Amino acid sequence: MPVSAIRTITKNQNGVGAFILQCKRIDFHYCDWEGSSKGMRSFLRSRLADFARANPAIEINVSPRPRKQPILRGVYVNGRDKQICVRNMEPTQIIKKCELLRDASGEPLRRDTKPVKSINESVRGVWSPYHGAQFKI
Amino acid sequence: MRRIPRAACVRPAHHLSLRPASRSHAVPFSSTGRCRKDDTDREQPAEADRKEWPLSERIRSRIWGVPLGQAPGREDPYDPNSPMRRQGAAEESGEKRKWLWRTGKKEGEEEEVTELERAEDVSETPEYQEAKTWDGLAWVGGEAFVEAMKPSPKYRKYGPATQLQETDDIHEALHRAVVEVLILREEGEDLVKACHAPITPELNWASSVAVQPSEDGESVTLEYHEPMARTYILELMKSNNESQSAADAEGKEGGVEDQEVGAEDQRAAAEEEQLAAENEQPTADEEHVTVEEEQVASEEEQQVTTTPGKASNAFEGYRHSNWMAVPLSDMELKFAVIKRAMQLTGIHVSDPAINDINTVGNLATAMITPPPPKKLAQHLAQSEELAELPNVRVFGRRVTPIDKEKRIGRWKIIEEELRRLDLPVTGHR
Repeated sequence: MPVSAIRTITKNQNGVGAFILQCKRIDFHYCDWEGSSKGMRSFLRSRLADFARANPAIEINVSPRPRKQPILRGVYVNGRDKQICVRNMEPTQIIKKCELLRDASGEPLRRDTKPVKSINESVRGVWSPYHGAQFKI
Repeated sequence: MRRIPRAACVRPAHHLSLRPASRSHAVPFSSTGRCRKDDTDREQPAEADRKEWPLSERIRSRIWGVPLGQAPGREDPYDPNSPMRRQGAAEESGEKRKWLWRTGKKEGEEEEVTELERAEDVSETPEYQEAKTWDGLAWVGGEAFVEAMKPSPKYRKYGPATQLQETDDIHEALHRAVVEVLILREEGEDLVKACHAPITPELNWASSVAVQPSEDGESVTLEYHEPMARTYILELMKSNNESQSAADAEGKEGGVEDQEVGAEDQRAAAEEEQLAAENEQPTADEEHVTVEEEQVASEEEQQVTTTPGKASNAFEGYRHSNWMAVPLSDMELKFAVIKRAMQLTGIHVSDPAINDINTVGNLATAMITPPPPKKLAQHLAQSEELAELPNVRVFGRRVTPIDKEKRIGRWKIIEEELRRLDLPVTGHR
C-alpha cells in the first residue's frame, strides 16, 4: 500500500483564531468615608466576588482612594484605559458599568458609518487609469 | 395652610410712602420699630461724613438698606479700631463721635459702658502687655507643644495595660469575676467591692472554685476544691477595701491630687508585693497547695500576699461544669460581673451589647468576638469568598505611583538615580 501524504485541509475559522478579551484589568477605587462611595462599598462587599468569578480573565484590583469619588478603571490590551465615575450609584448600576468596561474594546468611541470594516487589502486591487477598459468619448 | 402675618411685623403700606425716596435712606425691609425711631431721631450723616466710616460698615449699611451705624448684627470684630475691641483706640483715632453715634449715647455718657464691653477690652487689664516680638509667646506645634499636649501620666487605664487576647485567658478572668461576685453576694456585701481586689492573675484563687448553676438557673452553687480559697478571696478584697478606704480618707483631707498619689503608692506597693510573691511561689513538685502569709512592712495596712499553687494537675474551674450558664438577670449581679470582667480583661463592652447580655456565656461571646472592621479593606481581606479567587487583589491603602514602580522593580533604580543627582527622594509613598 503506497504511503500517502496527509492531506491538508484548510480550517474554516472565518478569520477568527481565538477570542481574546480586550479588557485585561479593572481597578475599583472607593473612599471609606464619603457618602458618594456608599453604593460602591456595598457592591464590593456583596457583588464583587460574583463578578470576579464570572470573569476570571480580568485582573481585579481593589484599593481605597481617600477623599475622592469612586471610580472604575478598565485597562485594555491596546494600552488604553477607560475610567467611569460611579459616584452615588447603586450596586446594580455599578454592575452595568463593570459589564460595559468588560465588553469594551478599549478603542475610543467613534461614529461608525460603514457596516463592514477590514484591515485587509481589497481583493479587486486599487483602481488604475492605465489598466482595464479604455474609455473613449 | 395660609400663613397669617404677625401683627408686630405688619407695617402699613403708607409707612413706606412717607419716607423720602433717597438712596441712602431707603429702608426696603427694615421694619423694626427701633430702626424707625433712630431714623427719625437722629440726623443723617452727610456724604463727606459717610466716607469717614470704614468700608465694611458702609457696605453693611447698603446691604441692610439702613443709615450708617444702624445695620443689625455685630460690627466687624477684626477691625482694630472697632469699639468692641478697644474703646480707647476709638477715642484716640477720632472715632469717638462715630462710636457715640453707633451706640446711641450722648456726650458724657460714654462712661456707661456695660460690663460686657469692659470685659472684652483687654487693654484695661493691668497685667496685659502687648507683645512687640514673638519671643516668649506660646507656639502651636513643635516638640514642646507635643510634650504639653500629652495625656497626664497620673491617670491610668481602668484595668490591665494590655487587653487579654487568648480565649482561655478571657474565660479564666470571666470565671474569676463570677466567683468573686458570687462570694460577695453570699456574704451579703456590696458586689462592686470585687473590683477593689488586685487584678494580677497570680492572685487568682477563684480558679479552684467550680460554679454550678441549678437547672432552672435560679440558684448557683460554689464548690471549693481548695478549702481556704473562699477565705483568701475575701481577705484580698477586704484588705484592698480597707486600704482603699484609708487612702480615700487621706485623699479627702489632702484633696484630689493627694488621693491620686495615694492610689499610685498603693498600686506600686501592690506591684512590689506581687513580685516578691512570684519569687516565693511554691514549686510544682509540691502536690498540695501551700499557703504563705507574709506581713507587709507597712504598719497600717496588711496586704494578702498568699498565692495559689500552680501544679500541673491543679483544678481549673473555668474548664469544668457549665458555669457559663449562670444567668445575669439580676441587674446588680450583672453590673458587678461585667465591671469586674472589664477590669480583669481590659476589654470594653459597649452599652448596647450589655443590654443584650443575659448569661455569662453571652458576656464571654461579647468579649471574645472581635469588633467589626472599621475599614472596607479589612472586611474584604477577611472575606473567604474573595480570598479563593486568584484574580482579585485587595489593597489596604491607596496604590501610589511609587507602589506601581516598586511592583515592576523600577523604583530602586529611580531612587538610586535621584540620590546620585542629589535630588529629594519624595513622592506619594
